[in-house]
Amino acid sequence: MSAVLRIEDLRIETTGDAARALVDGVSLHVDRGEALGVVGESGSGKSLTVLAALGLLPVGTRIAGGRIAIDEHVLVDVEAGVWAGERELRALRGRTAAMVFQDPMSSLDPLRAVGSQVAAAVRVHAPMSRRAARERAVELLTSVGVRDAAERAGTRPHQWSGGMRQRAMIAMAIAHDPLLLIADEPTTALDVTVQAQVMDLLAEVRERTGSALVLITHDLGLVAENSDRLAVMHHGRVVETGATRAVLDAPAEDYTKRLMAAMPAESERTAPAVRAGEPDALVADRIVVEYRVPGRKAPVRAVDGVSLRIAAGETVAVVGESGCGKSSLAKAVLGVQPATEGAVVLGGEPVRKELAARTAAERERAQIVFQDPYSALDPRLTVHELVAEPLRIRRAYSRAAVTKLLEDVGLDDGHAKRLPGQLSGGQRQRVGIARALALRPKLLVLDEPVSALDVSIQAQVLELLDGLQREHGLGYLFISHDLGVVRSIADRVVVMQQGRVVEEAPTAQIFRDPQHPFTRQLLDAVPRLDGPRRGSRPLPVS
Amino acid sequence: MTAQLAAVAAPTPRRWRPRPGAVVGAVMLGAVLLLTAVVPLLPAFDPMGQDLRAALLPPFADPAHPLGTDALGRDLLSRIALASAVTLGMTLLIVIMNAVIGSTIGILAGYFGGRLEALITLLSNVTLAMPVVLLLIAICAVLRPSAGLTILVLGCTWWVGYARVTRNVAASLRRQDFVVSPLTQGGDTFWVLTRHIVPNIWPHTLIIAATDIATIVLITSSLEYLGLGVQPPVPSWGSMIFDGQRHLGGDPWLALLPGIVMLLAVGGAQFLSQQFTAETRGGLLRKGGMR
Amino acid sequence: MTSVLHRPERGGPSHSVADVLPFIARRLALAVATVLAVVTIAFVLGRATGEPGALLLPDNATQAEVDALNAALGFDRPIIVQYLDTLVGLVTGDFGDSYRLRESALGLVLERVPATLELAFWAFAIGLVLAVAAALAIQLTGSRVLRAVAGWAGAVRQSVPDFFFALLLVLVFSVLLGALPSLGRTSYASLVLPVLTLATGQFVMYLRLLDASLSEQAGQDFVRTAIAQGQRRSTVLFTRMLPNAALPVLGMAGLNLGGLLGGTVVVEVVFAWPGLGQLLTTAVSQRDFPIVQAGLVFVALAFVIVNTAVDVLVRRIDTRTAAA
Repeated sequence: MSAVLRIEDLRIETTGDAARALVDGVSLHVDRGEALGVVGESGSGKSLTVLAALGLLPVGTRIAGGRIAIDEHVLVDVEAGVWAGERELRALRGRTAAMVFQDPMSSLDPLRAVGSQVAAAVRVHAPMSRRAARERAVELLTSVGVRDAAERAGTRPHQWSGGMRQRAMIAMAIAHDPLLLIADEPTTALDVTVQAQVMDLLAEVRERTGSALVLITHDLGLVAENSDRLAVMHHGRVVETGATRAVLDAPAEDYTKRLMAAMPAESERTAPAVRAGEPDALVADRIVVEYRVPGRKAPVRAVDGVSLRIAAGETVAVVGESGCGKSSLAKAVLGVQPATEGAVVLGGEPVRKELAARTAAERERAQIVFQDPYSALDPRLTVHELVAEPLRIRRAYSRAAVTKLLEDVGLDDGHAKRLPGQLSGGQRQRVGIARALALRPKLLVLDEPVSALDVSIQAQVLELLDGLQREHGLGYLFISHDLGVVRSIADRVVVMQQGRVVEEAPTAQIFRDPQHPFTRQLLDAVPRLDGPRRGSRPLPVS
Repeated sequence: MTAQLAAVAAPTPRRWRPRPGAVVGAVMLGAVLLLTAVVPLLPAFDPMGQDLRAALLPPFADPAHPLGTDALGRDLLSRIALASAVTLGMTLLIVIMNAVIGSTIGILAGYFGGRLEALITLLSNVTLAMPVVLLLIAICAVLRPSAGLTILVLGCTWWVGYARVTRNVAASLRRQDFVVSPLTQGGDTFWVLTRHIVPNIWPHTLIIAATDIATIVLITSSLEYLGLGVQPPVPSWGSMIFDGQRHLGGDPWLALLPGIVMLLAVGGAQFLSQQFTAETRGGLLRKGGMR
Repeated sequence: MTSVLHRPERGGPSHSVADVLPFIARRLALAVATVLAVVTIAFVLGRATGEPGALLLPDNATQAEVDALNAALGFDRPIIVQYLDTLVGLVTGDFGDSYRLRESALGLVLERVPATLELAFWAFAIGLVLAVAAALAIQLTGSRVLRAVAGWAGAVRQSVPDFFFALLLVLVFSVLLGALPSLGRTSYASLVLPVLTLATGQFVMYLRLLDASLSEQAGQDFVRTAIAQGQRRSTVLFTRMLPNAALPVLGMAGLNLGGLLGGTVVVEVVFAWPGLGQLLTTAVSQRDFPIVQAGLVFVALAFVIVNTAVDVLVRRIDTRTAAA
């Protein structure tokens, strides 16, 4: 059995005075033609482990111990003092082992045409004329599903969509039929439906070339559907490894179990928190949001006649891909981007369409928790000040009130003194929630509140939100691009596409019996632990 | 719930280790500041008194004139000390004026955008495109040169650098969620500006101001060399160097000494400002603020 | 990360001719506005010193003679007419005659331009070429020593104004070594010290910029991609990093070149170099305003042309900013 990649006892440290171990005692191997999934949360060392194999470690880190061999060729052996030179590594990179990185936008040179970059990748290991290289580049692009490749090859990366760019990256990676393909979070930056297409492409490409695959990701579902074996990493160590199906069916380690438990729920909300007899948190009637784009004659309709009702204590999820209008709808409800037509009623009282025109009392009724925990909090203010701000604006500040709000979201006095930069993503989101609740709103707009968080933290925050809703009878407008996330918390799901509602139904029904083709597409794209294997079986071992 | 939260330990305070450049800079600038502060307090301090019998004394020749005298017998040490006080004072004023004007304009342009921003952009581009130094020369020459005029003119024309940076920062801050949040809670624009925009911008202003000090000193001394700016008999580095140029063959120290002091001051300011910039940027990054 | 509260995305960037034209038109309008601003300021300054009659005639001239001279020079007309006259003169290239020398002001200015251009061109060329070479050397060798030396030397050079650095050079090369001339534009040798003064300043500035720019590029994802495909680091440096790093430097170069034209003033005074800057300072002290006006406008025009050309070039290379 020949292993395409074999890593033994790898140890990676930071350089400098206080050397820290980022990866410690990690052993992995990938056989010919098979797919290995390396799963872990951010900071687990999964990327570093594999980057080390190609000598691509970032500045500030170094290999401190272990052995690395590609195709049974020893590249690094710290004990024996073997260190592959730059020339040897260059011969391997792109030819024997090729990488597909996470963010195709920044991974491509913004100033050169895509076709020219693919051609450059071709010419590195296969000297040929420029013209021949360009023809080969077009061939490769066509083979990965880029339509009209000949024309598009002359355009620059910012004119390609995210999915297309990733296809171009894959085209470059397979240019020399590598033995090993390394994909580092290849789909994280893409829309859900596009993710599925890219993974399908990878599977198909592997079938053609017989390459092995190392799939590095934080998404267990992705790994479940796309790998033969997996290795779970945590804090720089391999916690568990084995055949994918075996591990997922019967995880041995605690951490693995925790990761699996944190995956989007397999079942819907059991006990709804809807309160009868209270005014609806939100009634939106035939909302239209239009705006003018300079250079176009007709205004763009981001939201085209959408009506929505959220009862007190109810969670309605609005799901769709980027550009479907869900954000514009939320903006209209808040008044930030006022609706052009339609009416908004919050907590039983009608409010003006524009935020600036609303009274303070009107503004209180709808609050928002932002998506990005990093830009949602002023980096110069302490947690206490951040939560206190709305109270100060309304001249209702008291220390006790702030402390209580923080307690409700699980933060204590120790956290209250810190700056946002000293908090984790999950903690920052809690601060955002506490701040949003300060003015006792009737409706909480949650804009992708967990998509920037690690999977195990997501579950905690969703649980917190659930508890708060029960306690205060809040209505939630939950915006997401990911159907999987909303399953456990939404009572009803509204699916939007191009400014319109294409389907609206209770959560259970959406998941069991989706009607609209787009809903089915969305559902299909959610990687699941028990989902079917994409693409082919691995090649038989020689 | 609290128990489940992974405790992110409060970060250990970073040991403040000054870079070699900063130490050197502090020594250099410190020496000049010391000179400027101490010499005028000495009883022998006399920058204007002429004594033709003691003209053109080299440094260290006469204990009464440690750095020598000029063609009119005036004590060089006193003159240099006064010149540095004058120049540094002017520079500080100019930099403060520019920083305040430029930052205010930049914040308004970046935050409010629209036509205001377009107007300010136009103004900035026109200002940038003009041969400012030449215009300064022309203005200073026409309107009877004086220190006050120089301060006024430089203070009102060098603001573009601040405006550009603060405009960009303000514009990107405006897109941050934490700026919009208070609006949804009942706050008004004034609240946002004073509590969120300005506090996040002034580190950037400070960074520019720190590096600007060196630039402004160089510009004012060039103007003085050309006979503008501070007028005789009040000494300035530039005019002293101009006067000393004539004697470069026989008594080079007349031109060299003021130049060396200027080098120490400007070089010191530069090194210190580099350290300051690095520290402030580091602080901004750590807090997760704008870069 | 996009948030709920972002402005909507505009349409993609365009670079068809139809869309570039408005950009060029905008830049031209800006150029015209700038030149007009300069002309106006020069005009105001010129009139601010009062009428030249009294200045030009000897002290014992009668009031009648002064008035006659003023009328002859056109100073008795209403201000608006004088201003319009100036604008017309701008277009036709007629700035009037120098008060002192009775020759065409523009002619005098143009006469001096080659000398200034000589300085500016050599300083820019030498400074830029050496800076590129040094920056590439630093990147290729990765030598910290080289970078530190460049950093310190640069800091010292930037700590002194041009005129003092020039004097130091004069002291060493003219006074002590007697090797190079220090005054006037006489021979190729006389070119050395002035150009050296300016070129060192340019070199330091461009090196700093390029080094920072290249270092920033080194950390970019697409550089990592190229290396992951097996490309040589030197190839990546030249084909990927340099073009991207050059963009901001190009923008600065445009601004700087114009500044250079104005900034040769002090150096010309130190070395008695018969260029435009020296002409202008003399004219200013002699209150000879046609020359001042012609000179300022010329420099402004040159500056604006260079800047516009650079802007168009940058936009052509980097179509991303075309949308902005």
